[in-house]
Amino acid sequence: MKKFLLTTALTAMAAFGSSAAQAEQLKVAIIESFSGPTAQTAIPFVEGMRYGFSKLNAQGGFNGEPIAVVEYDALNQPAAASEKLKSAIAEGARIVFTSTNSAVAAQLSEDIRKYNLRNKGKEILLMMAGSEAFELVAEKCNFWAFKTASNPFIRIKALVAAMKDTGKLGSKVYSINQNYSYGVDHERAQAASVAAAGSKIVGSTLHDVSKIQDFSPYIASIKASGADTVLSGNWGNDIILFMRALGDSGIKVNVGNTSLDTTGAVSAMGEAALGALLVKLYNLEAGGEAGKAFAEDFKSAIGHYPYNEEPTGVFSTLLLGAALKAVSKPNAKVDTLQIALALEDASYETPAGSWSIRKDDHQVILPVTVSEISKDARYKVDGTDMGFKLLKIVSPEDSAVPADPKCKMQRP
Amino acid sequence: MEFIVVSTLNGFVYGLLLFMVSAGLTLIFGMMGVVNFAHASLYMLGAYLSFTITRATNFWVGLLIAPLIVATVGIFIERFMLRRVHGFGHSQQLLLTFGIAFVVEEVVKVFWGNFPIAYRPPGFLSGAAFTIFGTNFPSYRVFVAVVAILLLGMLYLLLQKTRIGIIVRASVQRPAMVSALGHNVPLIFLGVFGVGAWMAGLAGAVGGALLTTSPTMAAEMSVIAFVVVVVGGLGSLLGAFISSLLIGLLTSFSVGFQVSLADLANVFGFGDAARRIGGLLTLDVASLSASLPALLMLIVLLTRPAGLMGDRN
Repeated sequence: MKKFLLTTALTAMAAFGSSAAQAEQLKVAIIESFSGPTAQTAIPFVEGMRYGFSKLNAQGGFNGEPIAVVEYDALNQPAAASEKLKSAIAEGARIVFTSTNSAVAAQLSEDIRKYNLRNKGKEILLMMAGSEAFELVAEKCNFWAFKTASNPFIRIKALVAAMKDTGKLGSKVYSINQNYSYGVDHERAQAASVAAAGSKIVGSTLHDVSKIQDFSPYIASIKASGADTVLSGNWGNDIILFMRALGDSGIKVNVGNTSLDTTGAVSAMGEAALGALLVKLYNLEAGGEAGKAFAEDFKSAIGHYPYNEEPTGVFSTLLLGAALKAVSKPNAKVDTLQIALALEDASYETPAGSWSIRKDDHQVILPVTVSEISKDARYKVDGTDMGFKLLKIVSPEDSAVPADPKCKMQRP
Repeated sequence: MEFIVVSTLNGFVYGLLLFMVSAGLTLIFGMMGVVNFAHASLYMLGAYLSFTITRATNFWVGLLIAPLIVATVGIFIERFMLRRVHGFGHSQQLLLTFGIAFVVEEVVKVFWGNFPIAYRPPGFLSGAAFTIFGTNFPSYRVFVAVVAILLLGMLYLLLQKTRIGIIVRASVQRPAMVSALGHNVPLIFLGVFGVGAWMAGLAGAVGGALLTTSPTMAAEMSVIAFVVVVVGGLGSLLGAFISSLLIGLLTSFSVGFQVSLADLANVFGFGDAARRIGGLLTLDVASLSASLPALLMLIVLLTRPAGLMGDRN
């Protein structure tokens, strides 16, 4: 017994001694929906982050220590995410990543804002990699939260500009979106961009999210409006069912959408999807040799070519990595204020162009790609003979939309 | 005219598919008093199994075999799970079926992945049956309608014109008496549950290719199937048929109505005032389309609590 106590004490002392000599390890929490219906959308972001952090650790981590990454299941509920944030903080996490659900991101941003006010010197930094809601950088903007996702205004602006350039934007546009904040943002963005391009919105619909089983009545309504182009922010089943109903009807319209590349979507839509346009932050065909090298490296690490939102997860992590590199010092403590300030000046060069953070609202300024579902695409998806053929890369300057005046950021 | 014809056809087909799912649900409730939350899961299982069998063989084999496997699963659930908790009352049965629904969803995710799969109509049914006002009407929709009508006819003949039907109907009304007359009531219940599961499987095999086959399809179908059954009257097959068509047509027609309460107010000259208030007043009927069945259910429950064709009105 005595011997046991002695060894324990010695071990404890040794552990204490070594931790004092070593640097403080940076801990990152990924709070995301790993279960439930939205897991499907969330996992690609996380897969990208896992790859990104393995790259950062291979380059030496932070402060000479590997970065520790812990994943928490947010259950797609703001309240659950809030609880998970508490335990992540208790376990020493200093940077939090979240991606899909904007309501979860808004909750985490608000929790972190309050926590940081009360815990000077131990601030938490939030990275929102896929939460598209515009309000996160408008009325809810927060110095400690960085949005490395686009928003409907950025995407639709790029999409409509590319459609106009390639002659795929008709004169009559129908706008169909899901009836919640994201869909309403899309409807507004589509109206603004279509008007700027000199075309006309001839009809617009908001429908319930993931409840419509049969889209053929909407197709009838589109046909009645005489539209030649359809713009939609629909995701998941809502775009698959829409495209299938459109294909069945035999009506020829150009389609522009944001989520045609969800895993399984192309195979579920089949040939009906050919010719539809997708606006996405990245396309694997971008960037020549650098793009190919990225795709192959990702494949050798993860097992498949980067798909869907995986590149977004990767680039968000590596943009943070650029900031970490700028302030990394061996044997130093983790200072999230320094990291946040470095992140404001950081930029990361992706194969499609440069990602950087805008100081005014912490929105990422990034290139946007527009692709067409085609059999000529270099990378085929879902085991089909179809893939996303790159049409156009819209530069960071051209895709950016101005910061919202409602963002009044409280800087520390 | 174009709008009316196209919306009627679309609503009719969707309504018939709803009937295929809810027929089994209402039958099981009518006969056994079990509110089966796992019913839509059996529908999902039908779609996934039929997809897999279709890949290995062909569409017809999938359509034949998948519902039979689902019926076997249904019989297993009744014989070894539901029957055990039967004596404890409704809440236990309800919780059991609720649990089964979760298990089926997770099992489906494990075997087929957490994303939609490529279950589409077979080649020979993927063309247009006819063209109406310049819009193709797909052959597969016609096929779905034919299958549903055949199913309805078969059920009617089985329940109304055969000896088995008489015994089944009698064991609903007076199970003790039927039992005293020497019939095996638990066996009849087992058969009814099997047939109900078979219909859900068939609906899945047919509907999975019409809509999408994904792990969320059960949850999506479950809600609307319950609405159909409640509106039609719990346990009434005819009620389920009428309310399926009603809900199919209602959702189909409402989509085309870009009209809000503010437009109605406009008729009386209050349009601008209503638009300034906003909120509910400026909401289009079209954007409420998926909520209208729930509204219909509310109205039916308030006016005819036992449903349109329910026995206890």
